[in-house]
Amino acid sequence: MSARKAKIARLATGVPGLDEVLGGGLPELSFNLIAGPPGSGKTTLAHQIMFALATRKRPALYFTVLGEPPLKMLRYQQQFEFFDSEQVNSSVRFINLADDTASGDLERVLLRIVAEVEAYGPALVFVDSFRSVMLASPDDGKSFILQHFIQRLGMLMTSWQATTFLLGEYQTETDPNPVFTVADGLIWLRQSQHGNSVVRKMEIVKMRGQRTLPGLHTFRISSAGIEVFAPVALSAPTATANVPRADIRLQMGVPLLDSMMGGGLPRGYSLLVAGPSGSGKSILASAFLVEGARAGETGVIAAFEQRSNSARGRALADLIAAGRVGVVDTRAPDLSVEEIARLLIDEIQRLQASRVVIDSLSGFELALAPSFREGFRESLSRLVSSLAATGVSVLMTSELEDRYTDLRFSPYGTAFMTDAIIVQRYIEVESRLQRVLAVVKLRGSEHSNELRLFHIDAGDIRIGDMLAGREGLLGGRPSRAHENEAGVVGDPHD
Amino acid sequence: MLSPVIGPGGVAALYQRALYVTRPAYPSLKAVREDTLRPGDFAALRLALAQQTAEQVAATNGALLQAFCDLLANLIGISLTERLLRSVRNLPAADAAPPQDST
Repeated sequence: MSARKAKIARLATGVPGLDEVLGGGLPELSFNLIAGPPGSGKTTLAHQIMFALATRKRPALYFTVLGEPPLKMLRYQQQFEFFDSEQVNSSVRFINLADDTASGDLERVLLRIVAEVEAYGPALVFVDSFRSVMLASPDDGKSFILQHFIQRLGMLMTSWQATTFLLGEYQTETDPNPVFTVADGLIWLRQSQHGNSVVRKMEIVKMRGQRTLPGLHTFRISSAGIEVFAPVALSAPTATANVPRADIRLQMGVPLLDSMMGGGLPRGYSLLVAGPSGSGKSILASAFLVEGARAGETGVIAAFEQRSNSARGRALADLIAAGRVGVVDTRAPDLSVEEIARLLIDEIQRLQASRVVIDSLSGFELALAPSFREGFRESLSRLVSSLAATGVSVLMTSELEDRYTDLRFSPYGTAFMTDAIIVQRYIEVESRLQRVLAVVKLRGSEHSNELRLFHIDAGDIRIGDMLAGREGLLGGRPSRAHENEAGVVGDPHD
Repeated sequence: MLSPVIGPGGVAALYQRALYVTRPAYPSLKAVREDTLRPGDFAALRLALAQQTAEQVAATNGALLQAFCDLLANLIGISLTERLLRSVRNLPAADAAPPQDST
């Protein structure tokens, strides 16, 4: 039976990430609407798809209506790398309908489109841009004629055995527009502005016959064209070793810390290092990467703190210079978590990295476009799980506001999503600020529950003893205890 | 072959601009008034050229065509211009008068 059903072939759009968001590509012979306000990237998206799909055997027709003057369109679109002049007038044909449209006779526009389609027999048809057709209609009040026109065009487009696209300017998708009903696919492009940061987003409102990824997906337009950032959890590659291995431990590069962690960080774990400013989180993170390199591993660091590579310590700076540690260093003010995840995963795959450092989550949040900060926890959770799916071990640092009244690990509630937590604190002892450190959590593994003093010596962390005979360390001002209690090693936690 | 792509209006705009930049060097074009031009209408140009010698016609027309191509190349780049004007370029040379403009 199933063999007799219509089989829908799916076209690869040539737009990175779009096929994933569409749920496997663009259905062949579908009638699609690309909608969005001016400047949202409709024409760019259409051109990119067209140049990727058009061949001599499957040519494309691109109708320009009143919207953008074709000269300008050609001038600017050819700046993109996907624009291939060689294809123009061979597999790609541009046809200008300005004169027919200006007459206001929609019937004439329709006849002209039909005549051109019949003459060329294209596999792809684009009509850009649609709102112009609407505005050109002299009967502005009589939307019926226009609706009729759009529906006829839609019906015609489905009957051509071509994959067709209408580009249109619409402000809201709540417009009760008949063409939304007729279309098989509805791709909505938007821009959201927040302060000085503008973020481009794409939504597949509708795509008949397949499961699309719901929600708004950020995309970026660069000289290469449009790149869509699909949600990370779904785009994560399945690495060969993607199961956390508690029996394989990574050394942390800090003497004594490994024994506090029951032998090191289990491979594939995520570790949160929380502490106040200056407590040595980044130093711990650097040591983690340097130790990895010593063991022959490569690493990636996502640096969101404003500092130079040399400020990260000479050993790490050397590794970065030697290409053993990759740096994802993004200063754009309009990043999304998905885009950072994509950059990270690309870098991990390039270097076959096994250790990843995100320094720090606070800087990460600041680097995001304001409109993404709301969903930061959810996105971060997806990022961590997608990184875990690649099999790497992740160390994240988090700024911790020093509060002596309660024990907090992170301002984002990120504590629950990591497998391990190390906390650093300042305490006051005899009029000096001292640092203490503890392993708070190590899922499925034994670990120390000691609060250990440590100090930073020439860029290295040196872990010392417990502060014997004192209590109330977490309150920041320890007092002498009446009796000593030794730290107990080996309390399975979590 | 150009007007289907960029529209008759686009071609007319380029033609007007080409007239404007060519006119100082070829005073005979002064007779071709831009404000009276309509898309695809070369009657005024024919009329102006009809009073010239064959050499003058070839030179004027060639300069005009060259200016037109340069303008287009400026806007959309040389490679795309060559693609769109391929059939024109296939004519003997740029300084020869296109058939529709010969007198």
